[in-house]
Amino acid sequence: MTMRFIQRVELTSNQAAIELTSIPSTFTDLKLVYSLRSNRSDAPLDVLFIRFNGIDSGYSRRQLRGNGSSSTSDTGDTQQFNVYGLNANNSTANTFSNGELYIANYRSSNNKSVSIDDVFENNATEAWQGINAGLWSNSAAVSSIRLTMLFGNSFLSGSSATLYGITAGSSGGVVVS
Amino acid sequence: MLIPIGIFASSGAIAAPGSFDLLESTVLTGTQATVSFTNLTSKYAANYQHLQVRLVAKDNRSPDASSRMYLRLNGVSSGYRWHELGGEGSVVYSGVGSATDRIIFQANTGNSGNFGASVIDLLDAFEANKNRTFRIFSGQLVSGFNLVTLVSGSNFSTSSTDSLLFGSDFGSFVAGTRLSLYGIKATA
Amino acid sequence: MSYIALATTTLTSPDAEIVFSNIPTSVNGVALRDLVLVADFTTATSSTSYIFFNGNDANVTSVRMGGTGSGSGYSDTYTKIFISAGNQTTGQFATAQVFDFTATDKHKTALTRNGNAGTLTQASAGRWASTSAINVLHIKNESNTAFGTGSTFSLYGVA
Repeated sequence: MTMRFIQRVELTSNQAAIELTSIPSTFTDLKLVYSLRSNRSDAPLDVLFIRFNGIDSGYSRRQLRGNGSSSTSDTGDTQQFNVYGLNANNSTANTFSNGELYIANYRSSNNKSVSIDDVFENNATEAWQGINAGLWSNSAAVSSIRLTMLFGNSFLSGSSATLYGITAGSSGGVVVS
Repeated sequence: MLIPIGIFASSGAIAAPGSFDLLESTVLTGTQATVSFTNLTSKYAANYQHLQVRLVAKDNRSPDASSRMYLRLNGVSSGYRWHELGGEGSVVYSGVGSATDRIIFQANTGNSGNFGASVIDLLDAFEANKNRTFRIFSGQLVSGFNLVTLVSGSNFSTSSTDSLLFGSDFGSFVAGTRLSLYGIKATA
Repeated sequence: MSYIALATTTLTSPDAEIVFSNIPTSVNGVALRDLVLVADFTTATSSTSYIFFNGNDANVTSVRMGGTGSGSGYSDTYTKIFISAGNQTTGQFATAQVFDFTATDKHKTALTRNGNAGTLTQASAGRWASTSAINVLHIKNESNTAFGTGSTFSLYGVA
């Protein structure tokens, strides 16, 4: 059972944050897929914040993104992963972002490398697609993931996040020289 | 360091089911204009939350020219919008598609055996309260037309995903084109 | 169960090349179509890491796009399928998907994602212009720098 469902949060009412907690320590990697919309009403874009274990330090990331007109590359916050590509409530109605966060070796005592790819659509020139490389400089295992946003103050009903565990196969008796 | 891979260890017991399942797959044995996955809601909505399509594609456009493919949802041919972030070997570009009757992304043409590849993710594919937003990671390697892209697309309808149709923008798919549909569960 | 773990290794000492060999075409009667490599690694010096197949690193074309943290990004072409670029001494994460790896009537196409939060993020497409089925996957870097202790490489098959 290489890829296994862990937990899912789907909002039936607006909520300030989405949290996936009590993540078991039985997998190799984690994969989170999310479909989100914020209540920001003055622009089509919001910025997704991702934190591990409730900790607000040790984050870094590089991003390449496009907005339908031009591409940009920048670096991120240190207090969380900040990822462009979250539908806000000024974007086309009922449209939610589509993103994926992959955490390699989430139980390791090393720093945690992550990859984040996400998009949001909008019936206009402006819509966003981005690829991200991130690092959480912390030796703790990832035991929880918290999603919030920069501009709005709640995710809208229908927003969802689904977490999976990936288990690597055995090495079959390999000897490393 | 050599890592020999033997037969997947099974111990004789039936493996517990995972969350990622191959649902359907088509490998063309001849030229074909389109490939469709149909009746998806009735077949899969009860057991799967998300869908993924993995494909390799080639069409019969003139050799060494760039080509494209497209997808349509539920037989609808209007109301689409798609956007693209891509690298074409010298610059990164970002743009919005002009076509509104389909979502366009990269396939391949060119020399024999040269196929493009795509991974298409559709989350909450059967939910009634949200539009379908596709995330498409694609690449093609054709001399003079090398492309790697991340595409987003939607047709802004909350209808459940019932069919996915794939076509070539400049001709027909050729033999060897392969499209595989996977379901991803959201229950234990 | 269509995502199948094939093999994994965590280096207990530096190693300049990782080789997954005897890659099966099926597992427990389930035919495999694609390979997925997940790598989380360091090297002693900054060097570009890549994958190649069956001992043959020739006849490869790739295109990539990436961002270094400023400007509008970059894109170029090369003759290797990259799984990293830039500074790897502080850690790189990469995935590489290789499609229809058992086919004998197609070139082998790969899509990769990789990056290092301190240096860049990157996506690429690559093609090995060979119709040979892939039964060996190699990982090394251009400077022949060893991958560091603790580096992990995991291979999965997709049915």
